[in-house]
Amino acid sequence: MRNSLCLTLVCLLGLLAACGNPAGQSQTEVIDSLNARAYRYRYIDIDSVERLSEESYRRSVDYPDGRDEARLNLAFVAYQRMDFDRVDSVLGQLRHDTRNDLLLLCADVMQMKASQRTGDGERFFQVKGLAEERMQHLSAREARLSPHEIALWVYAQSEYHLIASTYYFYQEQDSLARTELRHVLPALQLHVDTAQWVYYNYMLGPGGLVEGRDASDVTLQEFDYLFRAYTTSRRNGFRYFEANCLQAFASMFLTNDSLIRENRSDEYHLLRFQHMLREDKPETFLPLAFARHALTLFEEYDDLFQTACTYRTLGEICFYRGDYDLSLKNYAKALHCVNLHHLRYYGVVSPDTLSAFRPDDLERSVEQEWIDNPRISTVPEWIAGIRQQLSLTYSALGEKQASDYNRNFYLDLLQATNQNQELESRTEELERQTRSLRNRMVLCVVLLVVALLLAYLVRRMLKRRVRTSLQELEDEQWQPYRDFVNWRTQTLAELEDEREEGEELLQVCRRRVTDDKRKNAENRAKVSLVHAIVPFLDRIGGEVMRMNQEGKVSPERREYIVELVDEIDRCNAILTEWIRMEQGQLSLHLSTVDLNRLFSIIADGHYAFDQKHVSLQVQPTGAYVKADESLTLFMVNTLCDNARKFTPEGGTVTLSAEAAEEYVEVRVTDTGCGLSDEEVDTLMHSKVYDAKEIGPKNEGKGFGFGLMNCRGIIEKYKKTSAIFSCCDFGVSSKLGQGSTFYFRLPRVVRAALLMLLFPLLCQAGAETQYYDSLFLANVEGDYEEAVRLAQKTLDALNQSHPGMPQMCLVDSAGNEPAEMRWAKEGVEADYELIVGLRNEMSLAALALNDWQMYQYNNRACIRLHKYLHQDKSLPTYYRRLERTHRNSNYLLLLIIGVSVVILAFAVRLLVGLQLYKKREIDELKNYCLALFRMAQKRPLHETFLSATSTYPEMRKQAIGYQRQVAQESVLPVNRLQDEIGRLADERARLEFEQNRLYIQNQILDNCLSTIKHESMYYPSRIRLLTEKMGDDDIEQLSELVRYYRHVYSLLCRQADEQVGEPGFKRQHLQVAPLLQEAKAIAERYLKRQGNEAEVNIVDHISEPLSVLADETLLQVLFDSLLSGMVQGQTRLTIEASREENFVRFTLRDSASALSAEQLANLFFPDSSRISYLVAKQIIREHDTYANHPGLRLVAQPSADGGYEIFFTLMVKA
Amino acid sequence: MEPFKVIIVEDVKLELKGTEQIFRTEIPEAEVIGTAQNESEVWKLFRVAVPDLLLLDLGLGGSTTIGVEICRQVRVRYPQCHVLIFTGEILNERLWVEVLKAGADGIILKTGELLTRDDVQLVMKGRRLVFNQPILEKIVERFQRSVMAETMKRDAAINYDIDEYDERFLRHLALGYTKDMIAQLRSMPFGAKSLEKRQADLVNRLFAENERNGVNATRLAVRALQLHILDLDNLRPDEE
Repeated sequence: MRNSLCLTLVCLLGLLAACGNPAGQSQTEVIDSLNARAYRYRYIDIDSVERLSEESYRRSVDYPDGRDEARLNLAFVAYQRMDFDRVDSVLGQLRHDTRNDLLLLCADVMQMKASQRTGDGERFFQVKGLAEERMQHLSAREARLSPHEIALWVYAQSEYHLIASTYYFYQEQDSLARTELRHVLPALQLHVDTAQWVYYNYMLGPGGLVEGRDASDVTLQEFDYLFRAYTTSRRNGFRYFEANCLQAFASMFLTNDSLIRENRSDEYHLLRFQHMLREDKPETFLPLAFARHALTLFEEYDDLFQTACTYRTLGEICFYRGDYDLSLKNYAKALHCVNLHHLRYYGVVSPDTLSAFRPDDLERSVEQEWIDNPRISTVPEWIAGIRQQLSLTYSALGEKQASDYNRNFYLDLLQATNQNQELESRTEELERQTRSLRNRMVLCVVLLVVALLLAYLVRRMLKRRVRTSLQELEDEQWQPYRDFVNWRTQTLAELEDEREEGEELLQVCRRRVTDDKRKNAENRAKVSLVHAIVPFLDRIGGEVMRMNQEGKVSPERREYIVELVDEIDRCNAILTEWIRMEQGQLSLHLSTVDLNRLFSIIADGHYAFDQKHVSLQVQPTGAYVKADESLTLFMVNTLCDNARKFTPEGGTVTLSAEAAEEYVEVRVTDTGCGLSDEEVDTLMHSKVYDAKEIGPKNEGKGFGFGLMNCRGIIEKYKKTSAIFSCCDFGVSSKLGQGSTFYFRLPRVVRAALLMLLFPLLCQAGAETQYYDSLFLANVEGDYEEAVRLAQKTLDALNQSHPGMPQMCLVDSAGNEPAEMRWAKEGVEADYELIVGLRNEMSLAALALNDWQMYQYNNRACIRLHKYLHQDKSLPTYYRRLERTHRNSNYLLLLIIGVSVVILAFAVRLLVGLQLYKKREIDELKNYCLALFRMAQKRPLHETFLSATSTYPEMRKQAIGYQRQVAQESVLPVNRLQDEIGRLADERARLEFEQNRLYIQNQILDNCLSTIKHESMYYPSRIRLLTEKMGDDDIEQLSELVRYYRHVYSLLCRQADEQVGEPGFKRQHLQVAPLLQEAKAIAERYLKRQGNEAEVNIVDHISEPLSVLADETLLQVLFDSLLSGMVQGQTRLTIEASREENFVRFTLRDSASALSAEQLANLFFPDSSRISYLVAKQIIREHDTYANHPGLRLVAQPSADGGYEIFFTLMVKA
Repeated sequence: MEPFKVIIVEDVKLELKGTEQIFRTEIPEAEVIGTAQNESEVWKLFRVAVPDLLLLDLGLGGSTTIGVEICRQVRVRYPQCHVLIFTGEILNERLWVEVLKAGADGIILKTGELLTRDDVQLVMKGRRLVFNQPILEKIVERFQRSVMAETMKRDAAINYDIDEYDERFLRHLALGYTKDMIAQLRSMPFGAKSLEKRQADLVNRLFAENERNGVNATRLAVRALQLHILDLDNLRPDEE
């Protein structure tokens, strides 16, 4: 509609112009010719263009089209000089003044060009949409255009596609860029426009947009295009393109010199020859010569942007030749160009300029300020390119800090350009959608109000008629009932959903707790194993004591001691083996931890401090660390607790954190009694100590295991990865002046960026784990290790995607990185991880000065990043807007239709009500019956039935019942709500338990390792001493044994302390389901062995019987026993029978026989029977916590030639 | 000492060896008529001959407390046989109580001096409650603690100047009586108002100056328990 109006207007204007001023005809010609000349000079001499256009503009007061053409040329001049504000203002005037579609199209294209350069994606697509629409209109009128208009039309069309292609090219969307380029040649058919043709050829030249058989074929094709563009621009004097081509040649010859010399020798020599002629003292290195020539040309042409680009190319060439200093100078010049541009146009707004490296102000990013300031336009890609090269060069020069400085800005710039587009376009679109939605909503509401009003009127009309016949049954009386039924149904459904969700979450928690409980049971079994050594130790003690009494060494006793020592050694070996087997299973949950959150948890617990009149001061912190959150909280808590214990009333405990470059130090300072130097030394250096010997000798202090545990955790971090090598735990204290306990954790810098690149490490696949270590290695500076880990990560990723092209760390063939293919084909993979990996690899390569690897990975990182974050909605954005517009019309129709239907339905319903009045009584009865069934109120129901005999009263009663039932049936809703609350509580409890178990497991792990390490060495010493012992050495041996016993029992006590109350849950469990559960576990193991045999269940217990047990532990028990029992030929029977107060569960394998020796030793420590030790531990716990000793766990031969293991559990009294 | 027959129940072979050695070298009067590694072997030996002494380990194989059960049954079936527990369960005090309830003559912990001739001699003489040094130390420590608790009660009454009414008031507070209910007691000749005063007075006596803030009846009663003014085992209301 609006467009057709425009068309009429344009036609009218054209008519007026045609017949209005015949005298201006010659003047028009002059202006046209001035404009045509200006257009021709565009790529030759920008000053001439300006001069000619201004001239033309001045003269064309009476010739609007001519004036606007002049404006287009002026806008071009402004664009080339990168005066983006002027481009906007000139084009704005043009748009304001003209209705000529063709000129407006040209203006749009110019605007696109400017938006492309400033990286303003949103604007770009907005204008692109407009231009597209205009092109459709114009192509319909193509035949009627004058030759002059044709020229403009061809320019606009070809320029449109070239710009679009350039845009897509920079956004790494190669296929779209190619599609756009394909439209250029057809557009150029109508009219000869050499400049545009050259532009087209140049675009295909160095862009990587040509498709070919292989890399060298592509290069040769590109060379051909470039050469074509080059010769033509030379012939026509297009300095701009000539320089561009030369610059492209420079890059191309840098790596492909020999390829071109061999395959295109004529052209090669021509280029060389031309160059030789040009200078007196020609530069022999062709790329350098080309680039220098290009530089001269650009400077003559006065194009700051390209000049900077050429300096960059020069820098790259120098870099290639290894002359890093010179390279750096060139980049500095390029950066100077950027500053020049900035100062020329925005010097007033912000006088700050960029510099290659500013060691005094590392954090400040001037370019970011430019981008954030809406009054400043700049070219982010431009700066990004220079920053990248600077980072490379600095790295080559070994200046890591400067290199990182530049690389950080480079990454930020890329990030910024992406966000620009995404965020802006989204908000805009959202606003529009909201607006149209609001309009539609208003319309909807109006229509509905009208419909309802009508429905109401109809209803009133009908009701008046119905009321007379339905006097007995009032509508209002039914309403509460209907409302109730609706409400009930809906609420129940909602609540049921909520309940199910809660149930699912609970399941997840339950599984986790089961897992941790299993690990916990194993750990406790290990502690039991540790305790099992003590009797042997005591035996040795006893023997030594007797020898001491006898005063001589008896060979018999000596032999016995050696045997005992060997046994201890064997147990230690089993423990070691066991711990080794599980290494890695109990990994730390590493993540980025917000210290302030933990601090506020501690601050919440100030009550205990208030109680003791100790002031707790928590200093807020902004630091983030890489650590295990639960364990960190545990450590902070332990230290604060300790500090509280040893600080007298009126004292202060301060919790604070201080960030250093690599780590964050968390400090707990108290004003307590302090420690002497010896005590500090004991705390920090001896593995085992008795806390009673440290600090004031007051009551109520623990064994000091808290500090030992903290130290253990820090040791564990250190062992996990090199990044944690900065971890430390320590104390500084002066007697009487208080102490400061501190620990250090690796600091996470620039948390936001890290979070973006590294999703939390909790969902750990192999690749995530590798990647994590890789990241750590990089941070740590171990770049070779990082490269090795990266290869492992890639291998892991490749393995999980067989049949796809494989990713690699470096590829000299110049192929597209494999992950791009994956992403394009929609393969599911963790692309953010790959982006991160590529980024890390670029960093590593930078540090290792491996340029090829750097180039490949950096490019892969950028391409994938851009591809992932490209806004696929943008191109379709404009079209969708149009569609929304159209759709809203349909929607209106639909709403009207719906309203009519509502009305009709309302009418039908009310008429129907009237029709059904005869069956009203039956219906009433049915409703009530249904209601009563729902509420399951039998007595009420009976009352109701008895009441039906007398018809008139029945109705009255029924209505009364309705209300009553309505009230009573709130019950199920309440029940569901209670249930949901219960589930939430249960989940919270499980989470709490899980966290506790997790910490307990971690710490037990530490304790066990310590025991393993600390006690390893004694047995062999005792043995040595025993073997060559004379009568006088008995005292020495006795001392050694005593000391060993002392150390060992201290360590044991630390472990015992942790074991504490193991969350044993007394439950009453039915026997029959337990048997089924055992069967399921057995079948799983059988299946794993490829054994198809049936598992028999024999249940001798007839009555329903429950046992007293912990369900989870029982599962673990069955699992442990069956995992040991199921072998290749196993034929299993699972039996339950009653023995007095016990239920006996028998697991019988009739197919395998074990010797009496094997059966007797089944539950003794041995590394091949670890699962039986766990089983023994679980039975032992049932013994203890079900408060009745005498449970059995026995292995014996069975009557049918095999063997059986049985255990007993208490029957529920 | 008269010669006597003994059965040793011990599941760990190496330990069994040591125990046998002790018998051989220090108690030559003992004739070891059999050794058992598990429950069924014990009964098999008893069917052959009933010994004068059963030296019993508590944990056998997978069943870690089965000794208690064996001891109970031996007591019932062979009352003439002495049972001496010889165990490594050095931490599980509850098990000691269980096994004494089951009728064991004594408990020897496998630590310190281990099994001595004297201990065995005492058992054979029919002495009950035979313990070796480590277990005696533990028992005495417990005993001392409970005796100390009683003394503390007396001390507390003196230190905090607690009279009969204070005690009664605190005791009933701990039992959940309100002040009105306490004022109704026949043995409490005060009104609720005056009890209010008494409570404030008690808070002043039982708490240090900086602790008195926000002390309510519950805290006060608990404090009284902590200071042993009240005895948890004799917490009963006055009979009316």
